[in-house]
Amino acid sequence: MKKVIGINTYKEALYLINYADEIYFGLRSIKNHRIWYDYLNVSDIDEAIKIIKLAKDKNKKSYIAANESYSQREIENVIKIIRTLLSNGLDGIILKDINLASYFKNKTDIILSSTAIVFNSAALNFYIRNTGLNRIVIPQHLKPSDAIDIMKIKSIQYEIFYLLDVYCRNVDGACKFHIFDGKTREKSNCKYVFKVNEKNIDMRPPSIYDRAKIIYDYKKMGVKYIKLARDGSADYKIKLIKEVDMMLSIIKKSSSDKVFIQAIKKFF
Amino acid sequence: MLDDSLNKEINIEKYDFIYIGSEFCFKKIPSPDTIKKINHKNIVLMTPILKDDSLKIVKKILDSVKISEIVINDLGLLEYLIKKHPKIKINIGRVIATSLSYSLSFGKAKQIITKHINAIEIDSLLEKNIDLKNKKLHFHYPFSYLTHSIICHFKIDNKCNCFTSYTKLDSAEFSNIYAKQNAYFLYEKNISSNTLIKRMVYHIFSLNI
Repeated sequence: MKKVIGINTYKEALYLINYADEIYFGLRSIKNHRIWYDYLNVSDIDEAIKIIKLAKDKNKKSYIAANESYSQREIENVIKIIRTLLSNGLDGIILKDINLASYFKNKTDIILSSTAIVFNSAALNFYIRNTGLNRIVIPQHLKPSDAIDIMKIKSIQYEIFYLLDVYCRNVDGACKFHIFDGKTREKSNCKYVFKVNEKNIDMRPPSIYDRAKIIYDYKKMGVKYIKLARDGSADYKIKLIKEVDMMLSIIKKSSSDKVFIQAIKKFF
Repeated sequence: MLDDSLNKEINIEKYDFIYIGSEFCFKKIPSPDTIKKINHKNIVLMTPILKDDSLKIVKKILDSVKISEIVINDLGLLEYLIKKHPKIKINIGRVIATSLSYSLSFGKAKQIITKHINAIEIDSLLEKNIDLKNKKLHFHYPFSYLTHSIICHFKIDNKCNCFTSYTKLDSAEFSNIYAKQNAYFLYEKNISSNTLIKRMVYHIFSLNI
């Protein structure tokens, strides 16, 4: 699997570029799925261009995450900025907005964000026809056993998140829990534990072993890309990159999923 | 809005429309036989995000029961409805409306999605992110959709064990969050004065405050 690494600054790009097969970033001036945190977005277009040129020099691809929906007024500026970045060597866009995709269809690589609500093959075909996408980031809540029909579509490539690190408790892209009252809390809202009749209630992700098994299954099904999100420091990302390398090596050596999980349990 | 804890003493005839199914959980979609037993002239079937297997089941329901109106939260279902059931009125549900939001009002999205729809289901939170001047709005009250999970953590021994009624979640941080099925909601008393709102959808029958 090729590693796609989220980058937040040029300094971080210098540090991580040799570990990555591809990089991606958000930009503060373009609404994206890390809208709540400035530090998870590249500060301005000049810094973005430096990152793109660095990737080009290293023969790596670079993508921008512009994966929210835009109003008619917003989209003109989004298109203008992305055109500037493409003219400086950007390789494509991670998006979910059909209007944005239709503008850039056949002009650059289009990666459908996991924030698009695509959980079946008919929905994927709808997006393929209307956006010209080359790759989809599989939604975190879609299990491999439910993605068999989707992955019969061979005209595009598939990407997953490194789910041991990133696993939204809620359906990504259709969630207002994070921002509904305008407060950005230290602890993400979805991680709060509520009580009902003295019993704890929360939205729990699957266990790390179940998530490792999802990665194992998707690798076996032909997923070619694994994404490390923008969250965390550069050193934290190095730690994750080593985990991913180890996991991919164990998958390669494992004769079955059971053998894989047994091996993984020694490390996690 | 009827649900699986419906009090049979409620007289559904006094309501103009009856909403059945779920925008969030496929397991709450009634079978064709159950739908046939509901004696009301205006049944609206709500559907959630669909995986391939559940999409096939919804298609079978549509092929076997007469439905006049449907709420969709999956674009995979949209084209099927347009091609196979052009007479069924299509409403965009709150999950997919949250995702598509502003994009519905112009460009390609308007041409391939909005053009085919009858109305958009909204609530107090969603209203702020929808910018349509010529589509009907159906206002869900008093619970606004916040979020939901498809990896169901309420399942025990493969059986659904979620809240069947709106249940208040206690927390020092939030005072008005409720859960029902696999979704969280914000309880808000305000009713919008938007003139595009042509229908109020009350979620009241099984309220457990």
